This record gives sequence, C-alpha cells and structure tokens, in this order.
Amino acid sequence: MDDLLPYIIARKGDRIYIDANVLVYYFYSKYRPYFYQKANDFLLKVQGGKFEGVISCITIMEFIKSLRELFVEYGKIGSMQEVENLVQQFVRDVFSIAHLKFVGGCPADMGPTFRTEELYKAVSSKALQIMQKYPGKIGTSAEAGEPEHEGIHTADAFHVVLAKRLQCNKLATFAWEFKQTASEITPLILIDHDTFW
Amino acid sequence: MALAPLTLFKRKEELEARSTIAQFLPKYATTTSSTFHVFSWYEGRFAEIRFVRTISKPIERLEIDDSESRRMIWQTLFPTEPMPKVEENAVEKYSGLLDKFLPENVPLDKVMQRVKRG
Repeated sequence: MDDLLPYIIARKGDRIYIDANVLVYYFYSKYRPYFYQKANDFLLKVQGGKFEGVISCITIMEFIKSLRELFVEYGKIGSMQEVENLVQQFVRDVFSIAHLKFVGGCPADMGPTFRTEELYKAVSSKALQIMQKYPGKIGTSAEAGEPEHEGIHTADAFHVVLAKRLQCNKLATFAWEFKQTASEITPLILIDHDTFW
Repeated sequence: MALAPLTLFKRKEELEARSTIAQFLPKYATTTSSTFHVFSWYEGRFAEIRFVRTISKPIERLEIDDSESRRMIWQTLFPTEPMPKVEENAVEKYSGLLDKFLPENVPLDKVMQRVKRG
C-alpha cells in the first residue's frame, strides 16, 4: 500500500514555513551535497517568488544555536566574539534573501493585534497539545543500536503551531519527524521523492 | 469522476519521469472535493499518477506584513547594527558560505539533533 501514498505538491503562491535545517544545509555543501542542493533549490524558488517563505523566531534561534555549535566545535575559532561576528554575518545573509517574511510567529503580524500574554498562552498551550497528541515511537539509535525515542522535539511542536497560525500551506524541512504531524501542517520534506515543489 | 488509483511507472522509470511529471502536475491536476487525480504523459504513454490529496486548496488568508516584526527581530539580536537590505541574487551569493569556515564532512544532522534536544 505504500505505493498508494499521496504525493505532496507545493504550488506557486504557497506560503511555506521554513525549518532551521533548511538554512543550515543551504550554507554547507560538504556533508550531504544532495541536501545542500535541495535547500539551495528551494530557497532559489522562494527568492524567485514562487513561494512565500516564512521564518519565525524559533527558526532563527535554532539557526543561531546551530551556527554557534558548528563554529565552536569544528570551526577552530578562538573566541566567542569571533563566533558572534560570524553568526551576525550569516543571519544578515538570510535577511538579504527576497520573499522571506520574518515573523514573531503571531497573527498580530498579519492584522488584529493580540496581546503578548494572549499569544503566549495560545501558542504554548497548542504546542503542549501537539506534544501530547504525537508521542512518537521507540526507535533504535544508528550508532549504539540502543532504543531511543523518535518523535517531535519541543521546538518542532512550536514550529507546527506557528506554521498553522501563520496560515502556511506547508512546512519545509529535512526532518522526517514532521510526517507525524502531517494532519496539523503538511510537511514538505525536501528530500522526499514523493514531493513536488 | 471515479477513477481507481493506478501507477503505470515502475520505480526506476518513475524516477526518470519525475521532472516530466512535475511539469505536468499543475496543468493536469483535477479535483473532486479534496481528492485529486493527476495525469501525465511519459514516452508516449498516458498515465494516471495515484491519488494526490494534498494539493493546497485556495484559501482566504491574511497577508503577512513583516515590516515591524522583521525590524523587531533584527534589532533584538543586533541592536546597534543597521537593518540588512534585501539583495538581488542573495541565494546564489551566499550559498555554501559555511564551507569557508568548516572542514569537510561536518555531521550537520548530529549537531542539529543536539540543538533540538537542547
């Protein structure tokens, strides 16, 4: 029956929420060139106006933390000041891309003003519900072969809620975990052969 | 219109046909309620390509005006730095820029998993 699973198609004009891993793979070609190429192709389509890309505070925070981890662990960089200078440069580069919308993640960005505490309650409460509704499963770690939990992370739950509240059509990512929450927001897994975009 | 889902492409063939199919999808997608059938030609054969139910439905939605939030996010992060300007061809310009600062084969997935797990 797997062959009958539906395709996922992103069409021109779709509003697509962007996960941080898309940004990280776009900036680095020397690990998984295929992922890099897909991230690059996707952002080219955003830049070209085919899609409206949405980047939330959560995405930016994950992107910054990933950069810090990468620079400190692998970048042979001597000081945090150097790290932060580079982080700023990379965030600036993302801000330079056309047709990307940067949002705090609330409907206030789109119209009627919500008070901060209302937003907090609404988003965090929904994220809690998502965490409870999609508990994931027991998997096996690739390295140690030991049981490990496979499921959405805290930040992913916020991504899902924000993508929905911002009326996005899809959530672009490389993380297969978002398949679990497909009934909330359709994942556009950029390496999935059953997606067209 | 009731049509049974049918795949005429074998796996390898389907992969080869993928780019052709992609071009046809928007043109040949038809709908009855939320269920879609997609048709395409490949090497002279006409094929119905499974069910597709996740084509976005046109919806009334509010526009995102990020003029405030964009500035708010940037200034929160870098209060003394001027707002970046949108650049033409920025994607091409900055693509793969981390390559200059990192060695080869850095396991991005592991690092990002660590970030996710906190």
